[in-house]
Formats: sequence, structure tokens, C-alpha cells
Amino acid sequence: MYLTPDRIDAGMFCEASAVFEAGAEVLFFGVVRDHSQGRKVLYLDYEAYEPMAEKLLGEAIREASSKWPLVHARVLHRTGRVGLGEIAVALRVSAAHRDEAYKASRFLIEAIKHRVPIWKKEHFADGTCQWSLCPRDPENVKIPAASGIEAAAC
Amino acid sequence: MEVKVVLFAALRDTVGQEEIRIAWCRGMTGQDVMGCLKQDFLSAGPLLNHALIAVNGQYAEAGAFLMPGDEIAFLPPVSGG
Repeated sequence: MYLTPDRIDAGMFCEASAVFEAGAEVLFFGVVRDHSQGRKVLYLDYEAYEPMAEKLLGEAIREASSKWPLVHARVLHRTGRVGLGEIAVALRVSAAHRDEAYKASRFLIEAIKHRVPIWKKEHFADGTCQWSLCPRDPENVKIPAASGIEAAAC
Repeated sequence: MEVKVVLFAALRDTVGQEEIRIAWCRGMTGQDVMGCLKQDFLSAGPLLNHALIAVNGQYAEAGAFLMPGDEIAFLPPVSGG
């Protein structure tokens, strides 16, 4: 399972492995920040097409493992409400050497951001909210204002 | 015989439903279902134009043929991470 509705605890996520093949461990935490495009953010809501997201996250890990000789790779992504400073996504990649660990970690977070069906809704201090967009290509930033994705009262 | 349409995030909010059942007909494609949605939910048109399609949990082309019982999802641009 790669999705969780529960708070991600950094310490538990980082607990030492009993395997000692890895000389490099890259940890990445995506955390909720208090601003977005100049606006004050209060919290985020994450939603996923869960069966497909679970499958694609598993595929991304398998793809990373086929590209680089990894000892271990783990991904955990939040669903539901996530507060400021909380972890929205956690990655842990272990490899014999740092180069493959860094590369695989970067590959995984980009895969999550661009192909896994997960969406975040930003809730702003002014009482509005908005579904965030991570454009797959430059065309997607041109979605017209009347598309239902502009900030609306929440 | 039907296909199940599932909608997420901004698209679900715009349409006001997360699941819609549509009667299946032979030769029906994802594009046909999108056409039905655009007709029934005019305000969802711009988002549908930017949505990707998944059939039974796998990304699919708009021209993919659907079978009775298939689940077709329209996925707005993703924003995980």
C-alpha cells in the first residue's frame, strides 16, 4: 500500500533497515507549505483514484528498480486533509551508491507528480479553495478561467 | 448493459457527481462517452478537453473501445506530491 489517510511520521518512515547492502539512503519529504502563488495556504486536501494510483506507484517503483540497482525503494503518499508542515509524500530510496539513489529518488517524485492520479486542493486563508494543477505539458497551463478550477468559496 | 463513468477532483466538483452510468452500445469509445458528458454538463467541457482517460484503471486512448461493465475514468491534470 502506497497511499495512507494517516499522518506520516518521519521517524517511523526512516526507521533503520536490517539490511546492510546499501551505502546510500536518499529520503525525500514533500511537506505542506503555507503559501502558493502568493496566497496564504491553510491546508490541503488530497484525493486519489486509489486502485489506479496504487498500481501506478508500484509500477513506478518497479521501473526505478529496473533502471538503477536499488536495494530498496519505498513511497508513501497521503490522502485526505494534510496540515501545514505535515508530510504529504515520503520517499526512501536505498542503493549501494549515492548516484543511483539520488537519480531513482528524483525519478520517483517526478513520476508521482506527472502520472499518478492524485489531486490536491489548496484551501486559502481568504476562505477560497482551488484544485491545483501540475501541467503534464505547457498546453495544460492554458485551461480557461471558466473551467471550474478557479478558486471558489469553500 | 452499462459502462460506469467515474470523475475526480475538479471534474467531479464541476459535474456534481462522482459516478455516472451510461448505456453501453456496440462500438462505443471513450470519445463517445466524453461527447455525452460534454452534452449533459456544458460547464465541464474545458476540463474534459484536458482530461486523460483511463479504462479499468489503465490509461487509454480516447478511441479505445469500451465493453459492458467497463469503468471509464476522466482524470483532470494530476497534482500529487
